[in-house]
Amino acid sequence: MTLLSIEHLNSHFMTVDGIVRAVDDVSLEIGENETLGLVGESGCGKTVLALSLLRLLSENTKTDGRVIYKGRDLLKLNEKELRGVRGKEIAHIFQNPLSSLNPVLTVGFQISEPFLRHQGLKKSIANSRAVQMLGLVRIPSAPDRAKEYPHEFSGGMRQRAMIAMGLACSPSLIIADEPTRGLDVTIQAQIVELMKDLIKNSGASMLLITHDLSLAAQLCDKVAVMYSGEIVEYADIKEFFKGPAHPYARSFLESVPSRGMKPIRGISPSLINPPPGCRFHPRCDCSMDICKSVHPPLTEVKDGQHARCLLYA
Amino acid sequence: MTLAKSRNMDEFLKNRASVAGLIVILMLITAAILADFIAPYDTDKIALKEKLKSPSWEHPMGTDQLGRDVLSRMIYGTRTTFELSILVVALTSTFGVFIGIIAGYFRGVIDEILMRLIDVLLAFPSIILALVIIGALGPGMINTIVAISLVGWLFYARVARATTLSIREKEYIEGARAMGCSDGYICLRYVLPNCLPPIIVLMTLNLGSVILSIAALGYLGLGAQPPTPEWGSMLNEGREYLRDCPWLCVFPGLMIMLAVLAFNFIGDGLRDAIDPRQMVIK
Repeated sequence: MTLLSIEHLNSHFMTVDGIVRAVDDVSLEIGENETLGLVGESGCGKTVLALSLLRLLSENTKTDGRVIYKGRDLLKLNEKELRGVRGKEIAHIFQNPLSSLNPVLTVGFQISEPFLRHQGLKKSIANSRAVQMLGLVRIPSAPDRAKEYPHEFSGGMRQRAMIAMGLACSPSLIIADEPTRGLDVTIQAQIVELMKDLIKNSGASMLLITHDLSLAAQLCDKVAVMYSGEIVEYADIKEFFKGPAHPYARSFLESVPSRGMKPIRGISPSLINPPPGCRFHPRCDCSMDICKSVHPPLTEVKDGQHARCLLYA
Repeated sequence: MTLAKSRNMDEFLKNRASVAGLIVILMLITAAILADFIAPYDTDKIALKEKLKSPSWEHPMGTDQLGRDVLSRMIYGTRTTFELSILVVALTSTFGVFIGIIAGYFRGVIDEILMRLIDVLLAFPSIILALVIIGALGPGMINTIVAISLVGWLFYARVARATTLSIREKEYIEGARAMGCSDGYICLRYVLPNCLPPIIVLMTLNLGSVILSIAALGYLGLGAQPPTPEWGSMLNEGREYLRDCPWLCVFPGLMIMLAVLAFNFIGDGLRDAIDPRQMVIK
């Protein structure tokens, strides 16, 4: 069953230098109980894609396409309907736990907010639910900790608090934007374990955004590789790690320390004037003459593995 | 929070001038509240036999041209001044912060209209604008409040807008939106508390200048009307006798200076304690 399907989504920023095509004609599907990893280098449009789904971008962004969630197009909902979806149906866990909590409200209150807003619970009940949630994300002595402010929490604890906030209303879809960013390796491992458990128990789907392939390998069922605003490869996680089809995905995998730490030459292309033809051709080892002029479509390489490359067209 | 609070408090208490200012203001407020009990004489009691007496044990600050006790009038004057200035600051800060947050949060056309309006109002020297308003409405305490408030909110609006502009880009605001909070709720629970520190500093500094404006209007005979005791109008009444009876002017003048200085010292201390950038420089 498809829970969320993104169809031909575009998110363009109108700037003085030109139109920044941060998300360009992206189509993806997330099934129920499925975790989709969205990977790619910095600045390829992963975060913008995630923010577009709940229309959290600033006013100078032009977003079109369709985002169908349970039969409704999120891009066509009015502000009030959208507020009912945000946090209740689809939760967003932000990438920077250090600055994503309001410094002047206690952590407990911030976690109880979704209960107050979406479930209309009484303050005292919402508060005890918040303490419960803190316990669920394994914060010791949760009742006392709930009364503390974000600056009294360590980075890992703040990220857990963020996760608790996201999971509060048992959403069907969790969008986790680099949930382990800025945390050290041991804490990362704890957070990953925690998220694995919570997802298994709650039965929610997740869109996991990361540039950490090992994190994707541990948590995801499917993986989509994004490059320069486009999806260049979309595959089952096992197939992907067996052998990525797209040259970029292959180089991306080889750039990981455990796989040789081979850098990809060149720099990421501008999102205002992407290279003509295949966007990866100036950096690609397999590039042919045709790559300079023809923009490749996303084609199926083998069962369930798709790549945007002329090698397979 | 307790930790941060006490650190701020320590920082504030280290500043001797601010502590002195705080003590002076607390004493003045006590005097204003307890005026009925501590003032030795009735402020309106005219005793022409006693007029223009120099300071003595009976009348520590002397008597004025109508034989009224200057000390008693000073104490009641504190009450008038504090009532007026606190009311003005409460009105202007509430309205100004409200406008500032709306302009800063929603940006766009609303912001543009409000800010240009503020620019126009700021182009006039504030005391002249106040004079014009009182000239139109007539002198009196309520009109004084109106005249000073009409200009006073501008500064709060500007500071609140600037702070809101930086806060609205913070990730926790995005987080609140992702959680499904409405704009109104975000302004109230997220933006307002986070932009309070500079507003509190501005309020204390502003109290000093409001006291000065009230005294200035009183001195010009446009503020509190006789026989209401008020520092500025007392200064004005004593002007004619400046050569022979300087105490009529010296004490109200000193009082105005003391109150304004005290508020400025508190404001400086608060700013140093609250603003982390200032601490690094030191």
